[in-house]
Amino acid sequence: MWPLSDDGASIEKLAAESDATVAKVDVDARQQLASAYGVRGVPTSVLFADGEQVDQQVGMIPEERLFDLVEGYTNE
Amino acid sequence: MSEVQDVVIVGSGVAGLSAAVYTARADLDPLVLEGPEPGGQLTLTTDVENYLGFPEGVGGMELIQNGKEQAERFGAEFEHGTVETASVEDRPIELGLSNGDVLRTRSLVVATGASARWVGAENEDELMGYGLSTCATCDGAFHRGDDVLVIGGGDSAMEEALFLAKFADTVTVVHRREELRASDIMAQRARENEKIEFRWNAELLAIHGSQDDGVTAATLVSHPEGHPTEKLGDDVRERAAAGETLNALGDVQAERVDVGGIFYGVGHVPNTDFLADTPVDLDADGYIETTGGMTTDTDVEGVFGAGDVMDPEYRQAITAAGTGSMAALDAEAWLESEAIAEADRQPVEVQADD
Repeated sequence: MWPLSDDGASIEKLAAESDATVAKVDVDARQQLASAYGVRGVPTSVLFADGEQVDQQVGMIPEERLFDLVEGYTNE
Repeated sequence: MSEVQDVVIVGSGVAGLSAAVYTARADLDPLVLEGPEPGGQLTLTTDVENYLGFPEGVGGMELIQNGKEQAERFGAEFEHGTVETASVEDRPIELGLSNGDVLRTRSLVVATGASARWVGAENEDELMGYGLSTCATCDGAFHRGDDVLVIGGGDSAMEEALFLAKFADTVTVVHRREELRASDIMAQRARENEKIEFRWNAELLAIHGSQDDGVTAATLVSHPEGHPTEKLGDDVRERAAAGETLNALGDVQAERVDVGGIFYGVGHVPNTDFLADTPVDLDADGYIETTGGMTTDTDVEGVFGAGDVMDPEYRQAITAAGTGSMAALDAEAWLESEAIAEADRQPVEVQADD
């Protein structure tokens, strides 16, 4: 999709300012992991809540929507 | 209300970055808006071999990252934002962003570039990013051992095919005519690669698969005289999308092929939607028409165009950097002339109350 996407800036912000734990994966170095989640485009975001995968999206996600997505699972 | 900027540069590709370096060095404190494709098309290329000053070539990504660093060094600010509306005749100019913010600026450099064109095949909206891609260098590595298609017959399609041949089992270039548009050197490299095959006079009609399974197959159509989809009715598209095996289409042959990935290389469209209802003149394809001679001026004072968004012809990294610096100098000169005019008007002018 798009390599530089967001420079990762909004993901960094999400890590710093939300309750989510954020991990970045280098798909070139971790091809098996990427393949296990069916990743076929970068960037791909996978959201887990209570240990379960609850969402997966490909392409850049605007900052506001990233926070909305996470808050949908942390504000219950 | 936000403060009024001297210059807003929309776009962070090589043209926008060059404009940012120049306006920042002129102390205009430029604000650069990075849209949905930050860094522009250069971030999608591997080696740039024809940018002056790099005898060994330079990575497209490296060139862009260095350019951004250079602009920041002189004080350029970067923000993420996509312009949806532009009131270019107002003073100051107002830009409405997709997140609801409004920016105000005395001058505007439009360097929004061009984005990959989509083919219009059935199911492409759903499968883009799930095995369908416009960027081989981004997503090619997900297709180790796959059979993949590249759609297109120009240099960018050849570049994608050659890159994909490193990973995929087979690469089939699907081109709607019988001869390539690519330059001789790129066409020759592709032809000499044993993994790359060509499907002439053929087009992609539909893509099959799902977001969970990715792309699994494609329906191709061909016609001995080329441009097969022009010879089909709309109902055929729908039937192909539904997975029907097509036959009896007159002279057009249809075939379903199993593939794990599809890459588009069918050219670009300029990103000028937000200018459509403004007095900024666009040509029939949507490119900004700059006024005659060596200039980046548009029909609207204080609005300048730079890079691929105003250049359907050359579209090189170095020409985009060049028009970016021209737009910066044009904007600077315009701001100076406005400041002088404003100073002349000052004693008699009644201040507006905004």
